[in-house]
Order: sequence, then structure tokens, then C-alpha cells
Amino acid sequence: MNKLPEHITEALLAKYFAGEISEEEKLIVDQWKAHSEEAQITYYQWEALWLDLGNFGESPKPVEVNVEKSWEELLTKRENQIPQISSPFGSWMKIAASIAVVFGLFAIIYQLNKPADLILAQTESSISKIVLADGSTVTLNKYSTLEYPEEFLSENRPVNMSGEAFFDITPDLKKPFEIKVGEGLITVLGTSFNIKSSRNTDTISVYVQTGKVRFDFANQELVLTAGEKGVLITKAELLQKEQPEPSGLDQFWRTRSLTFSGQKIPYIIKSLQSAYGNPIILDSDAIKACSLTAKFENEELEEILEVLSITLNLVVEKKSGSYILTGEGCTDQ
Amino acid sequence: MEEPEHTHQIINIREEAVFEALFKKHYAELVNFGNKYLNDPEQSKELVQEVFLNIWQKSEILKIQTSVKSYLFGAVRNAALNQIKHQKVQQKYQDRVRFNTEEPETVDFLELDELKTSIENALNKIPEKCREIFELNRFEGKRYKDIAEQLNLSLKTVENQMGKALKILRNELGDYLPIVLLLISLHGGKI
Repeated sequence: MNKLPEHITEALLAKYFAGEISEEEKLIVDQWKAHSEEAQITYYQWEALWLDLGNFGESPKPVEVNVEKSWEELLTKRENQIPQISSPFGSWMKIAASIAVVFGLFAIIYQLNKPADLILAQTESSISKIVLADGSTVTLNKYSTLEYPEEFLSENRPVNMSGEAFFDITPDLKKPFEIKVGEGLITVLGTSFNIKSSRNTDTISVYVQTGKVRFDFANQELVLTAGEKGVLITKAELLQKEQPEPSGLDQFWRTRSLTFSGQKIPYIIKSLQSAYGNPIILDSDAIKACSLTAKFENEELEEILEVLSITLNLVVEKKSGSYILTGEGCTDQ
Repeated sequence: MEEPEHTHQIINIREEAVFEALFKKHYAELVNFGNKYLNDPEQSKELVQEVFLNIWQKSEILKIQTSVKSYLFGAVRNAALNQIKHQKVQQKYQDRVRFNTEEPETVDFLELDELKTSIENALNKIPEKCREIFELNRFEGKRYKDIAEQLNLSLKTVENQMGKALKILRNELGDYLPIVLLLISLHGGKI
């Protein structure tokens, strides 16, 4: 069980949760919990306890609920979500599907409500590769969805997606391939590219690896060629080109590879942080001027940090999930 | 994946009638329950609907090891705690929590009745006066100032007694903490 540090008393936490705390005291608690991941977990344990205890009291005011109206709302939301599932197969298929979901694997759910048979692929905690009827392949990142027809019968090749995916499209000049993602539409003839939509930042970004891609939003249009990246900020209705990450970070989820060619340490740290998700803290200004040229493929973060520490003469320390880098700096560079 | 040797109650949640009945039977109570955490009626309604949508989407057959009711309350509690957590964390760690916010995995639910019993037992361990102060604040929503006046105590005493009560509860409820911990680590900072 995580212990509280001496200056954070239970009385102080009680005041904090009860809203009886002064500005200065609040700062003390805020600083403590922002200090480390460990402190944050400890804080959430106490907060959960406080909230759970609240269940025993009277609710401030019972919430008035219109069950019928809420049920209707729920139905509408359900319709607007990922399309309805109705399996043409027996119950074994349903069981198989639910098992796949439970185990965090890849689940394909067949849907027969629409004229062209649409297939909904949804990933949970693993990446999946899907081959479409025209031979195109789609690598679907974790927690992403792709809806596609079993066969491409119309004049184009329409699919819907959310989350992140890499497309490698089989060329067909007569049938453009169309990807609907959020409010954006991406049209291609034959090429490979990455699409990422993020609900958090409200953006859709497309990175083109080979060929040419057209990115449409409302009445704006952006043509992207190999090596270019386009970003749509939906709320701002802004569609524009952006510099792709020189380290290959945009593709890291799929390639597990990062390339640095003389970038400075702050950029390298930032890339490693987003790629691996562990906080890395730079604890010395002297090393900010150091730079690195290296390619890492399929390596664990600790292995990369070891390379960094040897080549740049750094000390790497691990502390509750974060890595702290210190060093003298690079005089010979 | 190990499964405990409970008897499973199998419910086909994708049967419209089952889904609708579950929703209509428990909705009001779940909203009130969620509201004790969120203290926002609209958000609480939204939250309970989300929980139902999630259950609908996630599985066709829901394997439930306790009562359905316990499962639903556990799910609403988890969702509420996560929402509170995310609201605070969002600003700072927006990038890091990206995957977590998208589709949280189903987590183990809490045996709510068990938790209630443990909390009751823990409350009984608090000295009488101390407990009175705690209940006046936490259960009846009285301000520290008013409690001090009502019981003829100094504000400092109320503060200290609140801390003491919280400490005892935390010590007594040690057993339940691993569940919270599991919840936090599953939804926590790691991708």
C-alpha cells in the first residue's frame, strides 16, 4: 500500500475532497500528486475511497429521470454508432465473436442490413491486417475500425474508418478508392499511405508513403504526394500540409522503427516518449546540445536508452516508470 | 485466462427484449448512483447510457458472475471514477492517455454489496464523536464551519477528526484497495 508523505496528512486530503481547503494548501496537494506517477496512483486511491464513501449518504437531490425518453435517446445513439450487428451464422459464430472480443483479438462482425454486404472489422488491443476484395491491404492499429464491402460492386471502392490504419491500395484507374474518415474524404487510385483520426485532438492526418492522394473536407481539397503529410483540424475547418516527423514516428506503430539523422536530444526524447509512452525526463541542460544519428528497429526502449547512454555519455536512471537522463554534455560534437 | 469457479449466469444482452428490460429496470437507480460520484445529473444520465451502449457493443453474450445488478453498478462506478480521473488528467497527459480514452477494456467489476458491508464495518470502527463529524460532512453535506458550530467545537478539531476518520476507514478497507488499484492500473498512465 502506498504511504502518504509526511506533509500530506489525511486531514489535508479530507479538506481537499470536501472542498474546505485553502488556496495555499490546495497547491501543496496538487504539487504532490503531480510529482510522480506513484503519487498520482496513491491520490486516486484516496479519491476513490472518498467517492465510494459518498454512496452511503443521501444523494443531494434525487435525479429526475424519464426512463422512456432516455431509452429513446439510447436507441438513437446506438443507431448512430458502429452499425448494427446481425449475424447470418448460427450462435457458434456469436460465441466465437464474443470470445474474440473478450480476448482482445480481432473480431469481424458480418452485417447484412445493407444492399452491399458490409463487413465491420474492429480491433481491440492488437494490430490486424485485412485483405480487401481487390487485393488492397489495410493494417489496422489498436482500437480502430474499418467498414468495407465484401465485394466492390459500385463505380468506386468506398470504405469507412476510425482510429488509425495504413493502406496499401491495389491500382485500379477506373475505380477510385474512397475512405471516409470523420468529416474527411480521402480519394486515391493506387498508392500507400497512413490515416490517423484522433478524437482527443480532433484531427485527421494522412501521411503518404507512395503515389498520390486527394484529401477532401467540405469544399477544401489537398493533394498529397509521396513523403507529404496533410492534417485536418475538424473544429477549425482547417485542412493543411504539415512537416512529417523526420524520425518516422508517424509510422512507428506499424514499423516499430525510428531513424535519427543528427537531431538534437530534445527531439529524440520527444519521439521516444510518444513512440513508447514512457515519460523521459531530461535532467541536465548541458546534454540538450547533443545529437544522434542512428536507426532503431524493433528495439525495446531500454535498449535504445542504453545506446544513447553509451554514445552520448549519459546516465540513465529509472524511477517509477519514468527515465531520467543526466550527463556532462557533448564537447566533441 | 483463468476463470474462477463461479456459476455463470448467461444473458443474451443482444436480445432486444432483454436489453430493454435491463435498461428500464435499472436506469433510474443507476443514474442516481452515478450522480453520487459525478454530482451532475446530465452527465450521470449520459454516463449510464454510455455504459449500456458499451455493453451492447462489446459482447453478445454477457457472462456474469454475480447478479446483473451488481455488474451494472460496478460498471457505472468504474466509468464514473474513470471520467473523474480523465477530466483531471486530460490537460496534462493528453497524448499519453490517448489510447485509454478511446476504448477502455472491460474491467473487473466490484462486488458492490461486499463493498457496502465492508464500509459499514469500517464505519463502526470509528469512535462515536469522530464518526458523527464525518457523517455530518460526507453523508449530510454539512460544511466544516456548520459542524463546528453545531457540536460546539473548534474548526481545527473538525479538520483533525475528519482526517482521523478517513485514516481509520482507509486502514480498515485495505482489502478493497487492490480492486481500486487494478482499476487504476488498467486505465492508468501506461499505453
